[in-house]
Amino acid sequence: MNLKQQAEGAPYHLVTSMEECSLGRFWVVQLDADFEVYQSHDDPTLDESNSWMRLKQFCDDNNCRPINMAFASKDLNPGTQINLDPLADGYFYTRRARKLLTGDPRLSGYQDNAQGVGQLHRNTLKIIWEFDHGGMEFETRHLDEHPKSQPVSLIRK
Amino acid sequence: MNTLTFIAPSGAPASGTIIEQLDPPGNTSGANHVGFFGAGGPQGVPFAIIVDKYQDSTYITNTSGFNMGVAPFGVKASGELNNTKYDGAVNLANINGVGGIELSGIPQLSGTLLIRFVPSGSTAVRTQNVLLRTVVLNASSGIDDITGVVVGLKVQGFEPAADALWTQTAGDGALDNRIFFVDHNAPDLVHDFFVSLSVSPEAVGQRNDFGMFFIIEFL
Repeated sequence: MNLKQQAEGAPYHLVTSMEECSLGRFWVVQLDADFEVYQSHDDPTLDESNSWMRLKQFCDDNNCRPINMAFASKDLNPGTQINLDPLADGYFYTRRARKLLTGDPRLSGYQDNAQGVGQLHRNTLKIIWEFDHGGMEFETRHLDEHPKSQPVSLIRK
Repeated sequence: MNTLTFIAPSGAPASGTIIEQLDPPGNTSGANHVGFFGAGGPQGVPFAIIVDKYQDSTYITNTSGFNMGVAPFGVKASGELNNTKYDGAVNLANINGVGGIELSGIPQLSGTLLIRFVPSGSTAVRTQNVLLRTVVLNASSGIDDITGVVVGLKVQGFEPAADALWTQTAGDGALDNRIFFVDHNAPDLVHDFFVSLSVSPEAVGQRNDFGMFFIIEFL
């Protein structure tokens, strides 16, 4: 069994072709093992429901690493695709929610939701957040600034 | 839809009261905000905090600053939260009038707020990089820069049952506006975070030009 077949099988259940990817908006990662992995829906029937975390486990178990990443769309519109730098020191994906508590009634209860993809260069993580309601935001995070700021969803090379 | 809710912790007089945050829109008489006051609370004497002192009471209030909470509205303690007060040292708190308490021994239910996160769908998630920022609101009630530090008002906070020291997130001496929470590494359908907050004005006047921005990453 080759590495791609291992990725597709238990316990990883990774999607390795665009045709199998059922999401309209998704991350895609190129591995140094010379195949691509696509985001899939969370699956609560698996021990690890999240496909990004299963990818991380696969990389750890098989001594391989991502060498490129994009946040892409099924419509193949190049204007909506987010391309990260190749050969970064690591890649990152997460979902995020934020809510504001304030005494100012004009903004009370404000909430937004987003997905973030990022790339690591040395100890600096650059994240691009795409809001569910549209629009983007950019964040630069220094991982050594606080002991609680080490993201578990970072896949290092 | 992911839901984030601010709630009075089980140890508070107003236990379980949800801070409605103008939900539904226009509900200005509801239990909408958190207010920091002097010993008399929002409708007593003294209601104001003395400049350079920390608050002696903490309440859920309506938009006018009146005490609100579970029915019957207006009764003292109906909207009362735990009052966790900075007690003169980075490792000490005064909780509901009892001073000199080491932060390391304070349980979660003694926090000022419970922040409950429920992700959309029926899949358990883990959390990372969870934090609470004290943010500056501009004149039109927007946030120009979520990393900006509020001036003229000290805010201190900590995560009970996790932190042993206060973190200053606003005012003179604050280096940063964040309180970090411990990651929840075990996937779950509901994640509860507790925070204790204490406030000290550096100048006279009511302040509502700041907010608490809770940020959670999950997958």
